[in-house]
Amino acid sequence: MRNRAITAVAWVHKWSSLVCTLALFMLCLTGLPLIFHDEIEGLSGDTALQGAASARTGQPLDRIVGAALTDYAKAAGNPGVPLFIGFSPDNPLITVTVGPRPDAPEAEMRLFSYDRATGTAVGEVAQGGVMDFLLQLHTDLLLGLPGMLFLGAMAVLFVVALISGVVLYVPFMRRLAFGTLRHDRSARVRNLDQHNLLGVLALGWTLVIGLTGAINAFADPLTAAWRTGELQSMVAGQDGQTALAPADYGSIDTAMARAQAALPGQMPQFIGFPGGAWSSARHYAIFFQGDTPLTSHLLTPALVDAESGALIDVRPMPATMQALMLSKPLHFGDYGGLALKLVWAALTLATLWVLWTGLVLWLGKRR
Amino acid sequence: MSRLRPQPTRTILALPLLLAALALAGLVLGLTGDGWRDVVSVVLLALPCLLFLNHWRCRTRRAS
Repeated sequence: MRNRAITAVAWVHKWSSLVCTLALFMLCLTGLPLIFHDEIEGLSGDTALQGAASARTGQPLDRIVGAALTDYAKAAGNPGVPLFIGFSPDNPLITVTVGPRPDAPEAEMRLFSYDRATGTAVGEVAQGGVMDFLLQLHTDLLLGLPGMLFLGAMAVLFVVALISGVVLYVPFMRRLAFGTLRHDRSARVRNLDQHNLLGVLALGWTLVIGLTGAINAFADPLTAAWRTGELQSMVAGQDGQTALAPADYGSIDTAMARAQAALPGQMPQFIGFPGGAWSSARHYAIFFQGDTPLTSHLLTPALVDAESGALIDVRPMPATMQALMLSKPLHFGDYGGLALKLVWAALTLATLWVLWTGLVLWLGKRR
Repeated sequence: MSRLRPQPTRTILALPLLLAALALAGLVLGLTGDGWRDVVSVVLLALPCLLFLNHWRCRTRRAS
């Protein structure tokens, strides 16, 4: 019975690992440079703007958005509508996303950045660089939602492989001291010992990366569910379904002032314009971040009627969205400075070695 | 050192699970604060890497 149980777990470990191995090689190899995306993008020589944070103060938002619409019309050759405004918590940089219509897909969006302290244009944010390509590959294999869900399924299999691996670790280590690396034995024993030790050492980290990766993969359906559920209940009775024509959008500065009066001291992170994935059909959704390191990852939306400027509701995000927002930093490891990123990279290399030795062990057994 | 008497499952899993718990604590600490919390977070997450290097140093080598 005992042996039969071990055989069953071995079967689960073999197949859950084999099916996700190729995807995981790709995820580790693209993830490695992505850990250092800030440093790599910083190499291009752009220096950060100096001055007050754009999330705190600066030129009127209406003026910045007006400039972005002019710049978009010039660049795209047709008039556009504002989709998002992104704020910085530490410098005057502010970005405005513009597209041909309120529900434009990501591929048709263009980003324009400005210095909010002076109102001068910093330029259009170039998209389609190497890092964007790697991120896209890492997120959805360039296949959109189906690719994301596929990688999410691979992440779930990875977690299954980790857990079944720990169960298998027990019989293998019955008569061995922790950390034994028998390099005086055959290549197979050598690989097995390295696979077991590295796998079990990195376990806590790999479990978190696998789980948060799976959660991130379902970001789009989770956001869509939030939009049709929670967001609709926030604007219930407010005619949130009837689309508001972009010509009827009222002052963003008035909307911001009303929202900030309800959430004193908190900084906005971004504004979703009416009709986009992050708002209703006729409201500005202003997302505020908390002021402690933990709550800075959690967002509280304030919904303001885009036409009248009346504050409709302020409500923290539901638990599923909070989990999604905490999953991002935990997956990317970009919250603890360069030292943490280096550890993240070392653990990624360890994972690659566990994948490789696992594959070699499987191939060796078949021969 | 490689052949021991059979060890109970508890003993085999004690260190791996402790390390996983420490890594988890490190991840949460880093996320909930700055300063000393970041330092502790890095140390806790680097621990598995350092342990591997230590065991690598102690690996049994083929007599040659």
